[in-house]
Amino acid sequence: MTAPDHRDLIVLESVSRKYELGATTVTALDDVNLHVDEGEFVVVLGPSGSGKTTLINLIGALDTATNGRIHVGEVDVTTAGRKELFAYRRHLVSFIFQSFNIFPGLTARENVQFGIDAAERGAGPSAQDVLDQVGLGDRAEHFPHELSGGEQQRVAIARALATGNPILLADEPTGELDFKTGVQILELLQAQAGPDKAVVVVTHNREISRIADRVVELSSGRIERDGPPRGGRADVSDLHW
Amino acid sequence: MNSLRLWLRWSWRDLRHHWVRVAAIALIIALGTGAYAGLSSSAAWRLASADHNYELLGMYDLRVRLSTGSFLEEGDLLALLPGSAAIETAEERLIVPIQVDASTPNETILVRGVVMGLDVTDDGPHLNRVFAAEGRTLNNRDAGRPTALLERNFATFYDLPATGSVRISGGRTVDFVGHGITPEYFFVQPEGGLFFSQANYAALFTSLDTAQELAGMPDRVNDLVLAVAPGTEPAALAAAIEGSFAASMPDIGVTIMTAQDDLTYTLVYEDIDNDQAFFNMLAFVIFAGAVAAAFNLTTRLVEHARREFGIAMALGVPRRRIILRPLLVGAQIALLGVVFGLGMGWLIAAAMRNVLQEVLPFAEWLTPFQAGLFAQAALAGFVVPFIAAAIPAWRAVRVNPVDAIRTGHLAARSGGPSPVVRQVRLPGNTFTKMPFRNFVRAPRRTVLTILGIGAAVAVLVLILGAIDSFIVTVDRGEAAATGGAADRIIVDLDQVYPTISPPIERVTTAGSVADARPSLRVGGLLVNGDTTIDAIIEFVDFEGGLFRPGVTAGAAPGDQVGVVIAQKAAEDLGVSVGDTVRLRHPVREGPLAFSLQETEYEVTGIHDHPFRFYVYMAAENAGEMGLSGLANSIDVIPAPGVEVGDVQRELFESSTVVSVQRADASAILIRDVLDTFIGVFQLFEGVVLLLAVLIAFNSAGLGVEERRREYATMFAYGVPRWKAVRMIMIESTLIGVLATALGGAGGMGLLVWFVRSLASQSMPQIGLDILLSPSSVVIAIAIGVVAVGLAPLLTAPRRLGRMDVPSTLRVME
Repeated sequence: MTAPDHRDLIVLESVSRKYELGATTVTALDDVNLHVDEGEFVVVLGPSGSGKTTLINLIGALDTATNGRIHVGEVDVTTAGRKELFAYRRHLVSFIFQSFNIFPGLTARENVQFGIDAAERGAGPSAQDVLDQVGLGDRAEHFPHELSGGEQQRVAIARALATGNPILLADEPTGELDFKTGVQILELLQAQAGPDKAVVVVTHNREISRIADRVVELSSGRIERDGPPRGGRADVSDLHW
Repeated sequence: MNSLRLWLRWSWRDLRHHWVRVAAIALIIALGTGAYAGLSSSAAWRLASADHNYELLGMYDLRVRLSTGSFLEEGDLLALLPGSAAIETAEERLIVPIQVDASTPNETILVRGVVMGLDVTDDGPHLNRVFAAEGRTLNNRDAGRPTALLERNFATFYDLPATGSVRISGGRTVDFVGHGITPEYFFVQPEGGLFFSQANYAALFTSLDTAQELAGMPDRVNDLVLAVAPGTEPAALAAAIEGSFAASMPDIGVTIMTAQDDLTYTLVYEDIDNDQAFFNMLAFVIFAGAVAAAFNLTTRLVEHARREFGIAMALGVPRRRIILRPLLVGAQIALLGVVFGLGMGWLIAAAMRNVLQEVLPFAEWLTPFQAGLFAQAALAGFVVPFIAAAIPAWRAVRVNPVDAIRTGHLAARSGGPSPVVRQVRLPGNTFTKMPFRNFVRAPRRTVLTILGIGAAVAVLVLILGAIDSFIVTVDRGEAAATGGAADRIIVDLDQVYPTISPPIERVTTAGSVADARPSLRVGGLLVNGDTTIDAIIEFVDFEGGLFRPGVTAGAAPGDQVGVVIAQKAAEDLGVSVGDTVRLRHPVREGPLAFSLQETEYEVTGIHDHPFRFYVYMAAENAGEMGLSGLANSIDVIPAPGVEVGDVQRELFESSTVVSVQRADASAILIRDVLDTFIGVFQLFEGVVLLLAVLIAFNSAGLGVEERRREYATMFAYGVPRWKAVRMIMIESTLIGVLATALGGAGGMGLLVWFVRSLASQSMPQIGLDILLSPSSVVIAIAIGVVAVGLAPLLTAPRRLGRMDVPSTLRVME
């Protein structure tokens, strides 16, 4: 096994994930190999049941691989202990969910502050700065139920950004949003990929994959294709769905 | 029918899915219904048993008592009764105070008491019979022999054998052949004394001849009991008897009593009503908490199934059928609660039966199963939680199907705290803020949880406060009784003697006595309007006596004749310092004859004793009652190193001494009584602790389930589980704090009602203080805040630990 070089933020080697459902064994991921470099905006594309969410969960250490090894930064996720994994999630990865999962009891600013508190980040931009960055500076004191779906997802993104963690994992981030709002969200995500950082977006929407640096296509738990978007990389303004 | 089976099966699955919380709610309901059924059963038993025992033992209709120190020839009392047609049965008695030495090899038992001489001829007595709980009854052959029955409460208190012997004043020995129960001693409440006096008071039931012989009063009687003939009005006969005595023996004071005037009789019945009111209150508060908790749970269960309701509505299922499922869940919870409640009621009733039989020794107890009460409890236990379930279920099916089905951020729900909350700036990081925000996020649920726990805390505060109030009152009584001389002993004599006379000198010169002052204490009545209060009139030297009562308002009588009464007496009589009251008191007419006279005196002061029967007058005013220069009591300070028992033993040999008691004996007695009941109170403390923890446990469990996605999100962000648990505990503690504050205030309200209303009727002699001691506050906080705050530990770590984070995050609803 080779150790990841400094460019590789995420390395998956022969990773499989199988679930026991009664007498049946379901293979969600089968012998997957994947590298994600810093600065990359990667879209994992696949239909329902292809294993894309399992993949992102394994990278985020929300789930454990049945076989193979996963390295993220300096951490060997497959051998790390429970406490190390919690620390890993605090300091290396941040999640953005399809259904936002922001805290209804906290204001927008407090939700973003949660990201800072969870990551135990001392220095860096304030919650208000990050909200300004996602265009919600004037909605900072609103509770989630007072925000639109797009605004809620932007709060969720702001929360993830506020952690300052190098890896952003987004699971169907536009799944609940209309086109216009979805585009705004994608622009935001795309802008996050840069030096020392990577963004992995999971989606079933092929149109979204057009703006990625790389598209990893999954089918039945296996990588069918790993490369630039079919037809070349498009601008966000060219998207339609 | 098939459809109904489906809904039943489905609701049963709902129940099984939430079985821990359902069981907890059922247990909460059970605590309410069980408390009502069990406690009320005990009240029903007491009522039935009291009726039965008064009938069985032939409680008198009227009693004729000569004033203290007055005696008549045997037969004279009977002869003075008017019209034999109005009287079914009448029997003379001799009742004289004595001192009883029932010491065992292990314990010195020297108490005051009474020997009660009864007509045992022809299987008598026929009125106020004495039931032999142990040993045998008295019969003709006991007439004139030194045999007696020992009063049951006293014998039980000291665990005395069924037969044995005691010594009485004058060094006489009396063999007791059993333990006797008679209506006047269902509760031991000596004249001018307190109930539950069995530790300090021994009654010996013997033949009239024997009592006369033991008292050195051959052929004398001073008491008569009678049963009126059917159709005769007791009050009319009482008036006739009073007239007859006034005409024939104007120099002798007579008191005519009905059964209702008997302190024990009144206490037996009034106590039942008061206890029932107390039990009802306890059960109601607990039950209210249970209903709030049941409503809370059902609301949350219904919320849980909101989408399923929406789908069913979208598929055209009628609302009345959709509502069937939550209603069936509600019915099943209620039914389970009732079943548990019946079991708990039976257990509480069994426990109460044991306590009652110990505290109140009737000859025969009637304790049938109270089907009616249990049916009432079952009905309330079923209907109220069922309605609590029906309301949220009905509300859930009144929305449009789409609103019920919709998920995610478009779902129709309030979702967050009110805008007002955002104005409140909370210190600390988001982990500190989140519990506070969650606390106000669902105000209805929070309020219901607070109400449930608050109800438990209110019951706790009431119980602890009642104990504290008794204790602080007893302490005050103890301090007031000692009156500046902590080791004061009161020696009572059998009658009045000149202050310089051999009976008094025998006491003042006893080797165990350091200092002694003769004093005078007589029975009487305080009267104002229709209110009369038993009184012990004590003539004291306010300036230089061994005992000087503390005067809290007004002043000791100066030059004018006046009385110093208790605050409680002043309140009950509706008088204050400067007003006048009438005092019905004895006036000495001859060596063994006292008449009763009513005199108006000014209330010059209020003393600090909580017992209302103490009335103090200046020693120099004893002439008002023809008692100048006389004494029937001596205040004694024992010599250094001498115990009360030593003084008792030395003075017991004197035939004129009837009682040697510590001045604070009443306080010690009440402490003993309190100890008997504290065990029962502690049982309730356990019940309310269980109630509070169950509600908090349920609330925390539901909270974890409802916010599982939030916790899953936290875990996705690497927040450790202990931090999540801590947040849940902070939220639970907040609920506990508010519930404790609310329950504390409610409990204090109930305590005030209990003391001012119920206890005041049950124990009119005592002016109870109201107190919730710091230690009780700590216990209330320990249960209301700490236990409630810690309750999530029973459920949250396990639930969060078992959480499938990826699945939870992906679940749309």
